[in-house]
Amino acid sequence: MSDASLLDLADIQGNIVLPYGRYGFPWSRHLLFHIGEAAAGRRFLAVLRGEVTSAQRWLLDPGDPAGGTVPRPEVTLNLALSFGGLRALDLPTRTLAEMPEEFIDGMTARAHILGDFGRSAARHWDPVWRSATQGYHAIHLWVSMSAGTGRDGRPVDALGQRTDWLLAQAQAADGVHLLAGHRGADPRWQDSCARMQVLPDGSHVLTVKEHFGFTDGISDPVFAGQYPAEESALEVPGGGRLDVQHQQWQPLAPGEFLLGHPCEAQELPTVAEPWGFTRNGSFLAVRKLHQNVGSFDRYIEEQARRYQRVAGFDGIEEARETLKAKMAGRWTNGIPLMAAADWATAQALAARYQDVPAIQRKPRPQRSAAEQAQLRAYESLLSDFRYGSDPAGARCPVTAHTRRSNPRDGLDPKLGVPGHAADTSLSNRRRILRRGLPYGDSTLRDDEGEHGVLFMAVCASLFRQFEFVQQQWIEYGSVFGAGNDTDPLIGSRGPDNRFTIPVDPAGSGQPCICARLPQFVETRGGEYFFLPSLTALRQIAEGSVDPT
Amino acid sequence: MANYDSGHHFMTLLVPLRDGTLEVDGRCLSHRQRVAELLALLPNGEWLRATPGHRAGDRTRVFSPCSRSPFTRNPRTHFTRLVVIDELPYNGREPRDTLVGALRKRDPLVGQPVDRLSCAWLLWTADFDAASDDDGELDSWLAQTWQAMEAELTPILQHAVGFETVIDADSFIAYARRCQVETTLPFNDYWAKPPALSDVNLVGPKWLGLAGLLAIALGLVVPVLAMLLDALGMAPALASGIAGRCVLLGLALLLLAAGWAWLVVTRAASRPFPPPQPPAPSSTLPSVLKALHLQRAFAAFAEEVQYADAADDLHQRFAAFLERCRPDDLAGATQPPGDLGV
Repeated sequence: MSDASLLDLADIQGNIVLPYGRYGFPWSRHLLFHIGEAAAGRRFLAVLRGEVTSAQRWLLDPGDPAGGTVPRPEVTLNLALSFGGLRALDLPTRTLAEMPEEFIDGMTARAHILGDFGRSAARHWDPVWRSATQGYHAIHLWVSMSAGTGRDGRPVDALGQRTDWLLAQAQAADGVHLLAGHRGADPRWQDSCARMQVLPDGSHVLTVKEHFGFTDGISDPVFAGQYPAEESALEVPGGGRLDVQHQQWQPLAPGEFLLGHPCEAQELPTVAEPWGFTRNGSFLAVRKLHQNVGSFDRYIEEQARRYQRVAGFDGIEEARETLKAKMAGRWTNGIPLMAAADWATAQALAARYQDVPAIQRKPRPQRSAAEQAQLRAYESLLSDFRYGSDPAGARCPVTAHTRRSNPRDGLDPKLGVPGHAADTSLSNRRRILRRGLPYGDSTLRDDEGEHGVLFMAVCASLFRQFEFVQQQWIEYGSVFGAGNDTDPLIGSRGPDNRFTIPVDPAGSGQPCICARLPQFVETRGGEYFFLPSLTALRQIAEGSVDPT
Repeated sequence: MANYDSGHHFMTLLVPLRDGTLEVDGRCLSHRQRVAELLALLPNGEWLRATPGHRAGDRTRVFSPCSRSPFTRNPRTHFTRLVVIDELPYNGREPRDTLVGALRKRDPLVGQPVDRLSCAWLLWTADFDAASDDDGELDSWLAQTWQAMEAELTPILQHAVGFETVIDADSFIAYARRCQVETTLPFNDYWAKPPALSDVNLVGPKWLGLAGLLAIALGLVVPVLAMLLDALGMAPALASGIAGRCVLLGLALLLLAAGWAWLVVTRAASRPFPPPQPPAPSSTLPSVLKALHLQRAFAAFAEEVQYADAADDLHQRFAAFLERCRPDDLAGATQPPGDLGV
């Protein structure tokens, strides 16, 4: 069976397989509902299930070799249910009891694992997320719609129409209530959108930057059957797993991100009965992460001056950019530290590939062979690298953000041993699909404004994948030899927080110890959801989930 | 022998708890229940609360002393643990072979005897500094612990069988000795290097075994060879029964080889690990606490002075650091024992 027919794409929700933001849907709108009565919930879901976007490949242009079969929607629609939601829909007790513990808990109860204390504690969250599990305000259903944007930076009209339709259907179901209380432009929903750059003529173009200024959304895992062969070849190097025998990149096992399939450990992850209910579904962690842009800019300015002295850079700009790169693991233009060791190289590489955004905007059949090659080379530059040549972290600090969240071959105990080919075995089971987008406007570069990232992680086991990375690799540094140090960009801060920029032990440079970093990211909301397959959605709507 | 390992003694005591009940504050409790209650109230440092220092920018913190474990009063104690073993969880019936049972006409409905512990037990383990494997080290630790926390130990241990004989440190030592069980697997965290282990030498048994196999082979092959030669009319003069005796000799050699190998391996296994060279250096509790404190203080110092320009300035500041931290003075400027989450 070829990779392409491995998965029943028509049964899987589209947002698991595709990051819509990069495929022409840069605006997404998220609504939360409470189900007051099981029958009403079933009525609502029965209507929605006909509109849910599956993972079936879209027809792009006539003669498109990608082989799509369904027309591309103008607005996508996907939904997920919290544990409270499954309960409110009267699912059988056995199915509910066999759901994973962290999903039953909900995100507010996992604060001690996720580091949501102090300013990230639930009492500071947006009102709608604050009482996620309690009473009449309990969050049961999450509905997400993604749409394109016009030249004015606003979403296409179809999004507004779809929203109206959705709210009307909820009303008609007579027992499903929209939960309001999002901080932002409209309290009824949370909008998130790729950041825009305003050109001199007033038109808006999309950027791939988040609010601190880093290029985001580059690295994403790739699993078998996810993409058609041609695209898979582009995405797999760096996105998949490194096969130790052949030293080749390969896609990950689908069971890492889809329930009911074998995972990287060649096991079937435990799922609630009946097997047919959870199969082709997945779990979703939504987290509204506020970014303290002002504190970040100020800290970088201050620390860059000190870093310049310690490292001996010529100009303050080089010190500033290098400091940011050391914290993130990538230069702000997205080029990894493993590909460009200094600012000059990073700029030179960026200049060599400056035509790439234009090529990416062209429809695929219109790209020439040279342009395809340029795109492949650029993808390879951004994703196809390993940490094997840098065990000490002299190039990319071991505690940099991207190296913490995806250590690749960096955790291999024999890393750097001559003759040993390191592989990604210890990271293969800790990957998450990232589907989020930035929200809000940070033009004022302050802390108080409403801006950040609406982070979304999709994985088969929240505990083993998302929570593990968050607790062990982001909020802790022991495995990296860094004690209690947390992630320099997104970690919470203890009293002795530090970020150390190491240098080559054999060289003559001096390491830089950055101390007392302010808290750059604060949690403002979130919850755990179950993304049902379309079969499961039908069963829920019919009330026919039967574990016996 | 295994109780002691490179500078630390690993004590395991199993203390029998009394049957029956007693009255506490108008409630009727079993001795086992009461001991568990008292253990739950013993502070263990986990709920240590730290409040920030009073001045702005003050990075010191104040710890409430009452939450520190009483076991910290003995500066030799690294780690200690008290657990009430009520009963072992019942594991179900002994599996019996159904075929054998059918042949013996065993009735599966007849209940099997259920094994129980003779009483509830208090398990007390402790890892502490000991200069040698001499018995006196355990005795001195027990005496020190008794002197430091008789007031906390008596309410707990008075529920133990035979504890009424304990009236002073010496009788406490005698009582503890009666409860002592050998620790066969000490976990010592402070080895700087793994010990030099010798390989088990099985060359002798291997060759003996091979000789045995050869003899068996010969004994089996020779008759066949003889038959062939006989068929060709070239029968050699063979004593009868030599093949049989060859096989028997081979089996005997094989058995000897196996026995020899078993002796070699078990003798090697029962030898204790040689002490690592150098033996776990500086691993007494005061040294460990001092090291942790120094690590933290030095990290803060390194962060502070990394921007210093003049070599003189750095030299002076390092001198001030040394004076503040006094690296060689285990008693001064250190982390107190029993603090978690500092």
